[in-house]
Amino acid sequence: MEILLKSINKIFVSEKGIQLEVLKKVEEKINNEEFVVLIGPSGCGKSTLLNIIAGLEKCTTGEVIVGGEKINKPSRDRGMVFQQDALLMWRKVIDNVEYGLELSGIKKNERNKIALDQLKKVGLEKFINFYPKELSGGMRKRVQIASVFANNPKVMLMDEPFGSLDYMTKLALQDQLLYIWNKQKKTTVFVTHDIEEAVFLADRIFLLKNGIIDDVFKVPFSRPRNNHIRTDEKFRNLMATLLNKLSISKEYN
Amino acid sequence: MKFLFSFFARHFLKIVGVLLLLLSYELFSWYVYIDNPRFANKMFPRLEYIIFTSYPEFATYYGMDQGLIGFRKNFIQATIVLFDSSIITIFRLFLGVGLGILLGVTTGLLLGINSLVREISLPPILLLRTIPIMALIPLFLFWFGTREIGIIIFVIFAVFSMMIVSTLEAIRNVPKILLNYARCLGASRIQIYKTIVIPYILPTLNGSIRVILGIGFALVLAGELLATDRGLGWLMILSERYLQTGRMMVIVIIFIIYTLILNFIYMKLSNKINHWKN
Repeated sequence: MEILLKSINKIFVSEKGIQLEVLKKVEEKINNEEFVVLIGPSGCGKSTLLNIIAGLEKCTTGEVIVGGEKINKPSRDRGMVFQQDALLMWRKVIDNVEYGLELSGIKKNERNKIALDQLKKVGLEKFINFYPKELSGGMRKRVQIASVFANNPKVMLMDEPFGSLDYMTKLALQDQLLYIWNKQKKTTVFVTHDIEEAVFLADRIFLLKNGIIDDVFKVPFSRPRNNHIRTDEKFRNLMATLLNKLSISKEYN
Repeated sequence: MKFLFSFFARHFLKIVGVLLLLLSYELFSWYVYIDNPRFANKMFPRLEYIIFTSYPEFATYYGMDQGLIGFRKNFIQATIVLFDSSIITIFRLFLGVGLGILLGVTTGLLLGINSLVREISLPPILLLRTIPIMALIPLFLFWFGTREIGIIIFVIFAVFSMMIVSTLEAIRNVPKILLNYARCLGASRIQIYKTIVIPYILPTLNGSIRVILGIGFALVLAGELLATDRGLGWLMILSERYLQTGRMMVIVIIFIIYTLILNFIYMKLSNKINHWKN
């Protein structure tokens, strides 16, 4: 499923009437089954752009075309993994993963099979009857990812999903994400401010600066990827380039 | 037997606290008695007086509403009198509080579906709640009669106004992220309401219900104090008219026991709903 971003403009009006043009003219194309990472300094509008693609927010002008159709509201075709915990705490892990399928009216047996399959992929098949509050932060993230993948969206949107986790857990989850992504490739837009994460995960990196996609970087590593590329010279060079580009903008705080 | 023993062991400190309280009262009432025997029983009856004299005196109320008189005090008839009255009071409590909660929550859920409807209906309902509820008792008794109906409707109204505000506020406070999450999974409005809003607000409602259970007895009692008919409140009024402090204390103790039992049962039942929220 292709995503076309056409002249996306977003203006926020604060309570005092001050206008803030967060996105000026975002114009880009994301190819089918491509993993794109959206990176930029804090407050540059990357989460806003992601919400617009998801349909949770509307852009002031411009349009988003997903799979040939213009979008204006959320749908199960564009699944989203949030930074905060969005799990349903009153349901067990297995019921959480089945939730999306339950909403589409899929029968219990079928739902259970799909859910178990996704949980196996994230390595949590032993925890199916646990409640979310009995799991660690990293495990809850994995359940969330399994829940969204189980729903089989055409597009995956991820808004700094690993932002609240510690470094080691982050590395493990990045690895896990690529593992399950390789098995069921979907067009993915991933927002982060972690440069290492961006280079490790992406096919292409969009650098969002001053309300436009200032630069696009191609990541020169083939898939499947594993952790030893992190110390590769090309990897670190790309990181240095990105860091350079990012440090210049001091406007957005 | 083993259950009782473990019960005492776990709640040891609480029991000690209560016993100390009873002991201090008893000492105080003995002091008053020694000082002035004649009026002591009218002001601060000793525990033994309450248990062995006041309690059996309830037998004298036996059959009062049927015009029977002349029963001498004894434990069994006193228990029958108290039991009958308790049934009536508890019936009013359950019906009033039960229906009040049901109506309050249902209306709250119906109004809450649409955020516009919710915002419009909240202010007038809040206004309704600021009216001192006890001041409405005479009004309700006048409108609906001093028999069962009047008291029960009063309780329903009081509980209803509390629950509906609780419900509307709880719906308002559902975190946006859960709603967004459900939308991105393809949920329709009704589905969001059924699978996210309602399960999420249950623990909050549970808290409100506990508060209501606490004052529910007070509401029924207040109604009974003004409506002379039957029930524990009526016994209280009768005792007051005869200046029988001891009997009034018996009623108070009975109320305390009932409240404790009700709270205990409710806690057991509600633990199933609450376990997921910290």
